[in-house]
Amino acid sequence: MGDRGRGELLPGTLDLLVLKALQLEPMHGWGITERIEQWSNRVLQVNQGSLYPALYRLEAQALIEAEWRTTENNRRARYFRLTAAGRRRLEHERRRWEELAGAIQRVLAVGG
Amino acid sequence: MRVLRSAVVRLGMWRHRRRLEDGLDEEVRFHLEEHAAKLERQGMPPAAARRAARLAFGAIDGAKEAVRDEVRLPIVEDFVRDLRFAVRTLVAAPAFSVTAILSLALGIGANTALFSVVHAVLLRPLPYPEPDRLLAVQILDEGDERGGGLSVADLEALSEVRSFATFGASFSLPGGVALTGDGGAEQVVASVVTPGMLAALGVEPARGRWPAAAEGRGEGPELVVVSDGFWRRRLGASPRALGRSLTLDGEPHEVIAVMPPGFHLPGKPRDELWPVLRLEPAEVRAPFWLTTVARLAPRVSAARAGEELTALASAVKRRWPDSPPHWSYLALDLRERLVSDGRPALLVLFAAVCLVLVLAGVNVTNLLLARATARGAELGMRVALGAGRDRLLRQALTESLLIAVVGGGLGLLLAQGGVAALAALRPAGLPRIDEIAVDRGVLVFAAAVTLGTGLLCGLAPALHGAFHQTSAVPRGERGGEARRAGRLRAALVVLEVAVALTVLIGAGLVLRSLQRLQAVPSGAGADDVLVVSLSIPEARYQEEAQVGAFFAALEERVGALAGVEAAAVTMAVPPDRLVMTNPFTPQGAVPRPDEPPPVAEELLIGPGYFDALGVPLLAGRAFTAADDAGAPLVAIVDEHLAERHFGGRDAVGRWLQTGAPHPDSPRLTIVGVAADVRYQGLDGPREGTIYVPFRQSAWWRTMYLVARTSGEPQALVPGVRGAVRALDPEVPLQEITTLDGLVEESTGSARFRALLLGAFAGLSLLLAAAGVYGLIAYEVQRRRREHGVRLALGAQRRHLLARVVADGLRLSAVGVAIGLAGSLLLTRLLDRMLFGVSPLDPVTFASTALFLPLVGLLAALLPARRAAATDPLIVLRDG
Repeated sequence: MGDRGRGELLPGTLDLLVLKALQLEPMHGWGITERIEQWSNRVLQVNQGSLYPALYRLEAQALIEAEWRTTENNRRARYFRLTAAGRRRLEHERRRWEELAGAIQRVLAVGG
Repeated sequence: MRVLRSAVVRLGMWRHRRRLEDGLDEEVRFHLEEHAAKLERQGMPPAAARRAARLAFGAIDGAKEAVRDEVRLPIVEDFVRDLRFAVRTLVAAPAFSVTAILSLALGIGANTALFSVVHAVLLRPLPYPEPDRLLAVQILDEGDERGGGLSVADLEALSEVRSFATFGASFSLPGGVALTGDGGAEQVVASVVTPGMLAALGVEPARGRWPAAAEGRGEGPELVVVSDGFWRRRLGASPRALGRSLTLDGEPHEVIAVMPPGFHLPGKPRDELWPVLRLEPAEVRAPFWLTTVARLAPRVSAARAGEELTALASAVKRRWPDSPPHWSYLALDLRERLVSDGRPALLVLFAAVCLVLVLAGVNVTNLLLARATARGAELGMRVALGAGRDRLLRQALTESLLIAVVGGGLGLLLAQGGVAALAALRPAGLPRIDEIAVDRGVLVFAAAVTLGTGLLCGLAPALHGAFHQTSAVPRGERGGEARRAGRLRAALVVLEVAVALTVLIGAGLVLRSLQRLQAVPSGAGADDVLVVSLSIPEARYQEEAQVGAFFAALEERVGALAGVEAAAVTMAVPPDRLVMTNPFTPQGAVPRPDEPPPVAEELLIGPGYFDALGVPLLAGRAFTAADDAGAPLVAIVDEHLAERHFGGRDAVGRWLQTGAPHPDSPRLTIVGVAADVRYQGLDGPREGTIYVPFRQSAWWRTMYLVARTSGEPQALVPGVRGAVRALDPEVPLQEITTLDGLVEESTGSARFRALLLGAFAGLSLLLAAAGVYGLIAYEVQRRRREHGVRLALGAQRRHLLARVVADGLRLSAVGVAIGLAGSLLLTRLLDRMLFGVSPLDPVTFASTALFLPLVGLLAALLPARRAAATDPLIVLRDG
């Protein structure tokens, strides 16, 4: 249900972006949304309805871990953190994405 | 590794899914509030900000549902769902479920009960440390199947065997020992042991110490080791029991050890006392009476010990020229030696009970198969709608497993009862019967059998259900699949009939053997004979004259009791309490050195013996009180011996010599010939019997007293006890029984086998009948329409009935034919359990082959009557 004017995520990229968002520090769901939008200069908007299923899926795959913590303004929130397996997966997915994007780039450049 | 971790995480999430849901709610709430707060900071009014945040999030319930999907555990959840479904299905069809569950309960129960016997008797290790290092050492005479005891000379020689770490011997005292002193006179079951016996078995005493090797020789106080039970019963569980003196057979014995609970000598679970045996150095080779156990030295094989024993046997033969000519040492694994006699019968019983389980399993398979066919439409629909075949398979297996687990649980309860009943029977001839229990090993077996049965029973129906319903939605049960399933069911019922027939024939053979065995006359014709046994201690009755005087006085006193018609003492009683056999030389025989002399059963008896037992005297006279030590030596022989060695009744007046052949042996003049009496069991060998008056040969101190009465034999007991006490207050009565009781006891193991096999045969019959009934009833139900149409078109009801019954008969007939063929092959396994009946006994085969179809007929008749009673109107109207 995003804003039609802005970019929807390509299928399958949400997991990659979530892993990337968690690369530097543990973060809660809302923070991940904000981080992705901020880094993409508001081009990418995370579909909230699919963010939480994605988080639980990554957790079930043991790529991220969750724990309840208190936020800076004293609210309870679930913070997610990359596991070692998660870091490896992020690296793997990133490389795959770059290959894919490069390939598309080359296709589009033909005969420009 | 990650897969494993992921599985663990998933399982954790699944287990805590309640908490997870609550957490998710809180998380979403937090997300919405943060978003709204951000919008407010950008200047939106609070209410509008909250609405905008909620809109941006989208459908909250949809997101939650998606989260739930992520943490689902499909296998576990499916299983729970299948289980619920299976329970509902079973509850909805109680007749089906009860039949299936009871079938399996009976099958698994019988199987588990018998396995607990097999486990205790054949499989469980002996209760000694490193039991597989223990050997039974025996003497094997040429032509014997089983070994016998060793002599003192042999035991001395065994100390030269380097393969043995320790060895020792025991001897089970016939009638036990008389305990006198504090607490009253009592006969206690006991075996004498050499010090080495306890060391070889390796069980440390709970208190005290093993006797030292030197204490098995020479002088010093007599010692006794006591059981835990005796220590509690007679010594008040006193810690100061060690060193106490017990008077055993008139001699003081010092208690030097109390064994832990449950300790017993191999095969002798009832001993309470183990007096330490003191052996004098051997002067002759014989007699052979010691039960010997040896423990192998570390890293020595039993084969090596065997080689050493072979070499030793030759050395012993040279050392003792009076050795029997053809013998050798035999060292057998101790457990093997103990259980080998009981094994064939147990294995046959176990095979029979496995067949019962097969029957039960086939019944359940057939029921499930019938249902799978009936549910064909439903299953077809589910496949068409996209249900995975593996899901259908799993669901069907869940159902059969549920039946098996419930049936197995019930069966375990049945087995508990069965084991208690078996132990209460105390079948003679089964060693280690006291150890039988439903223990962990048995439980594991029952669980394995239950799961295995559940899977096997469910497999065919499940495969049928999952893979044979490809054609979209078959209507009813036409189609080739249903026909194929029908044929499979019929084949299974034929198999059931065949298996039941085999078990029935086996049981029939064993029952007929028992009948034949019980019809064998023991030779003692009298009813109402009291039999008691008693021993007089050597310490106070050393001279033959004393022994003779005691038993003569006893006969006189008991004979004078009111109600006693005849009384006598005897060394042995029928049908199987023989004490000794002895070589003999009949008058006129020329002993040949290369041929062993004939051997006969020998009994010392009193004058009234034949009268008391009702044994007819065929010629000559009975003994009298005048046949005493001062009179000419006399003997009475039985008809068998008279026929074989004296040409019939002319034996009277001729003579024979007993013992090893020697021209100077005293000659016993034969004064009478008695009818044959069985002393080695009703099915045992007959070697001929020599009776000798006890007054002329009073060397044996353990005698039976037999007294014939006009009334109830047990009523004589107080009088007999009083007579014994009047002669010697320190001599207790040992065994108290009757002649009938002895005969019954001697057929105990045959009755045990017949009882169990009979019970298994009954179960097989029941299960096979249920199988035939189930199949025919199902067919009748399936063909209701057809029957209705036939009736509407004018078919006769009795023709319909006959058709259905004929179907049942045809199944039975094919089953019987196959079963007969199988039985012809299998019953020879019973050969050793049979007596007077051939394994191919035509009477048993024929009567069973006729009887079983009769049962099949009855089983088919019930549904057939239902078929004939079909109301064409209702059927045609309802479809």
